[in-house]
Amino acid sequence: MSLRKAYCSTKSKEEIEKLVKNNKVVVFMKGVPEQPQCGFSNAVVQILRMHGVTYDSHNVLADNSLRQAVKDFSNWPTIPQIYINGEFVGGCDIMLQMHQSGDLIEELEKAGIRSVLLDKNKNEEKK
Amino acid sequence: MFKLPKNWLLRSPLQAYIRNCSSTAANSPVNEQLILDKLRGKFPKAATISVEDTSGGCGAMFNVSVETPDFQGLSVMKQHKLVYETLKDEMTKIHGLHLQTRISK
Repeated sequence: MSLRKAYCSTKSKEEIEKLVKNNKVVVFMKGVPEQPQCGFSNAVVQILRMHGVTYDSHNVLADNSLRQAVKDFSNWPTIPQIYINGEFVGGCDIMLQMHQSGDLIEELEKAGIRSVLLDKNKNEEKK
Repeated sequence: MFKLPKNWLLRSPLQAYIRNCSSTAANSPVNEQLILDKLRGKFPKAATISVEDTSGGCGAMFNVSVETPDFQGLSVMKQHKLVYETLKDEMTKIHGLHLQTRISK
């Protein structure tokens, strides 16, 4: 039973919903922020770090029941996946794009998070 | 403080990537042409569609760029979803792709 639970069970929609609403920013990734195990996940971690954002992270490689459930929940085929204020924002490419356009700062602001980039570098904003 | 092992940046993603390459290459017939054909079929009005295998030929990682009027009125996330939906079968076989979408007139 425990084996079955570990390898075959999938988290329910309600369980994922609880996870994504647990913090303002929630990331599903491969590996952990201290040691991402995929370049895409690493990029997301670096971007969030630049903005000084604290977030919940969930390692899909450590939890098989999570990996497919998350993809089904968001209807998005790849990991990492980022949620802000309980809403699915996108994966690595969209985060990168939002970071470059400045939209990420706005999106964080809507969630009541002030990006540290605003204080650090005014020029970054104009980009 | 949490201490990282030496060269972790170089080691972990690269290792995972190599592992993935070797495990998918054997049963993955995904290649540039296949992705290109699927996208051209889905977006016949596209101004540009480009596909580049960035995995060194083992078919695990791609750069994909699509510029088409079909994206008009869609958010970036929805544009990406549309492309992922088109490549549904391939997505399960590859490690990932970098996607860039643009609206053309």
